[in-house]
Order: sequence, then structure tokens, then C-alpha cells
Amino acid sequence: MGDSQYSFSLTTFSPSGKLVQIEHALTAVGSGQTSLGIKASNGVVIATEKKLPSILVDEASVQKIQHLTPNIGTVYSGMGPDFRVLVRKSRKQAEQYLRLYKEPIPVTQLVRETATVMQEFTQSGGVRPFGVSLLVAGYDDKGPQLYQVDPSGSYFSWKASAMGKNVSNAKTFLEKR
Amino acid sequence: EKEEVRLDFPPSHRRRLYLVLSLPSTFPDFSSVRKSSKLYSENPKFPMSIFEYNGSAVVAMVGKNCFAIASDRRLGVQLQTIATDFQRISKIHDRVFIGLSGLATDVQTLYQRLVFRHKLYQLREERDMKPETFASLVSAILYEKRFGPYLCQPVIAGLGDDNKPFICTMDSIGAKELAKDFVVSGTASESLYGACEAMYKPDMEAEELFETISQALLSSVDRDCLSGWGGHVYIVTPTEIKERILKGRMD
Repeated sequence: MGDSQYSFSLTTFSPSGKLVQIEHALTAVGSGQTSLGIKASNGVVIATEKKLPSILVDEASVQKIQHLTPNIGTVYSGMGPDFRVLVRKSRKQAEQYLRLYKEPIPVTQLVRETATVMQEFTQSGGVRPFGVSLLVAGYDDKGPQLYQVDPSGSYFSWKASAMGKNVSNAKTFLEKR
Repeated sequence: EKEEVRLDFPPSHRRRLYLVLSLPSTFPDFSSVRKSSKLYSENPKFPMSIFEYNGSAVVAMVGKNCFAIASDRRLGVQLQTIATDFQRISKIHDRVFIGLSGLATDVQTLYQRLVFRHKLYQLREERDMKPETFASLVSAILYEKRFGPYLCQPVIAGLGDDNKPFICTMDSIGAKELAKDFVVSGTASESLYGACEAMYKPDMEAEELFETISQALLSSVDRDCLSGWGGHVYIVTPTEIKERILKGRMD
């Protein structure tokens, strides 16, 4: 495609108005292991496929679902190391909020700040976007919430969502049910 | 006999420690400290405590599902009065008020900073700050300037969730002090403590609370030369905010 001339630098738009690196990041997400989340009336459930490369891997050491705060958790599809870095940054932001206001961070605020971090990596020099999409599940004063955050930094609130491989099948199933 | 010592750093407002700082050449022995510290405060060339530069009195009291916050109206420059309508209490939002005592310039600047932070919070989180949260924010902002502080002592009063009144005060570097009955601050704070302690009783309704806080304020500022010239009282209930100006001894 003609866009390939513009896919080398993240900070350059292609003529069709896309940032091609982000498209590539979404492809990386799409080839990651499936993960999905469903919002219930009194909570949120998130799940992911934990397929290990070999039976010799110690499965307890692989943590695909992580806490960001005692009432917010997250799961991902895409590159595991990128996920670890994002979790670390998000946890720090949540703690900074708690330290300032002595109040646990609302889910929306944490999602917004995480998304801002991801967006910064699409507009800075010398860095690449994160190769993960996150599903953030949390419970606060506004009730149970489920958000999806993309490598571009956009986030959406969902009643149910899926990401990774076979996402279309998963979403069709969720839509029916 | 008791020796008076004077400390120039911002201490906790509950207990004012006085420590004479320097000039060993002028004071060869401790017995002359008391005489000389009095000389110090009368000598216009020597700076008095910076908290006493403008003069102020702020008090907040808890009632039954309501609170009251009141302040004096004098703005002075040491012994000269230059304004009699100085605003020391400000509304952060309909259910949280903050009264700031101490150096007037810091009162105004700190208020502007706090309103700024609260407006951003309101826009981002689409809700008003709870009084406890606001108090934590004020404490953090004051501590940021730990080694060059804002020379004010805030009094924060608000209605929390389920209309439970909340009051607290802190010193100029952010040490929070929660109370269930009343909090005071300013140059008239010692008299205010006495007056509030004597006049306060728990679970007062709004009108009675207004009477109590007004009497406590006026009688205390009458004992303090640096505060007075009337009073400014806010009574806040879940349904309304009543603002009243008191006329006291205009001196």
C-alpha cells in the first residue's frame, strides 16, 4: 500500500490520515491471546486465555491479570512486557492520587491517565506505541465499570468486550448473549 | 518567674512557642529576655511574628446536620487598620467553605490556587470534592512549600455525604487537626478557644448555632487588638447557605 512509505516514523501521518504505527500495534494486539470482560449488575468479570509456550513453564509465575488498586484490575491482549510496564505506571498514578486526596482513585480517572500515557508514546520521538490493549475492570462509587484502552490512547466503556485472537467470534457470542 | 521565648518559624497554631533568636551581644543573660521580648514587640523596627502582621480570627463550629464558619473583617498593617471588609472565608463549592487566617497576601493566593485545583477536579471527575478530600488536598499543597511556607492557617468546613458536617484546621505546613465540635485560628485564637469551649454544645440547630458562633467570635475579637471590625458568618445547611454580617465594636 502507498502508506508503507509513511510507516517508518511514528510521528508522521500518512496521506490517508492514519498513523500507520498504531495500525501495526493493533495488529500485534489482534494476534495476542484472547481476553474478554463482561459487566454485571453487581460486578465485572474479566478472563483471558493462559496458553503457555511449553509445559515446563511454571504457570504460577505468569500473571496475566493484575490488580491496579484493591478495586481495579486489568487484563491484556498483546505483548506481555508492554503490559508489565503499563501496570507499573498505572499503579504509581493510582497511588499518587491516593496520596494527594486520601481517597481511592475512581476507575474513570485511572483509565484516563493510563490512556494519556499510551497516547504520549504515540507522539514522542524515539519511542514506539505500546503493543497491548487493556481491559480495565473496576468497582467504585459509580458501580461496576469496564473499559478498553487501545494503543492509540483511546478508551471506551463497554458492557462486554473481547480482544485478541478470534475477537469477531467472541464478540458475536457476547452480542447474542 | 516564667520566661517568654519567641520562635520565628511557623509552629502549630495550638501552642505558640516563643524563642528569642539572635543578638547574643544584647542579652548577656536569660533574665533580661522577658523585658527585651516586650521591647521587641514595641519596637517597630523589629519584625513581630509574621502571623500577626495583618491580624485575623476564624472559627468554625459543628451543629446538627449543619455547620457555621465565621471570621472577623479587619485587615491591618501592624497597628494601622486599612480595610474593614476583608474577605477571609471563601466558598469552594456549595458544601465546602474555607477560612484562611494569617498573612493576607498568602490568604488570597492560597485561595486562588485552591479554587483552581477544585475547578479542574470538578471538570475531570464531574463531581464536587468531598470536604475530607479537600482537606487532604490543602494539606498536600501546604506541605509542598515546607521550607518556604504559605503563612496561613486554614479552617475547612463542609457537609459530607449524608449531610454530616466536617470541620478541620491545620497549621501552615499542613498538619491536619480534625475536631468534632469547633476549630479556631488566627491572632485571636486563644480567646476563641475559651469562648467556644464555654459556649458550645453539641447538636445545635442552625439558628442557635448562629447565635453561639457570633457571640463567641465577637467576644473573642474584642480581646484582640489585631482583629475585629465586625464579623462575617456563614451558616450552611443541606438546603441553604446564609451569609450574615455582624456589627460589633468597630475598633
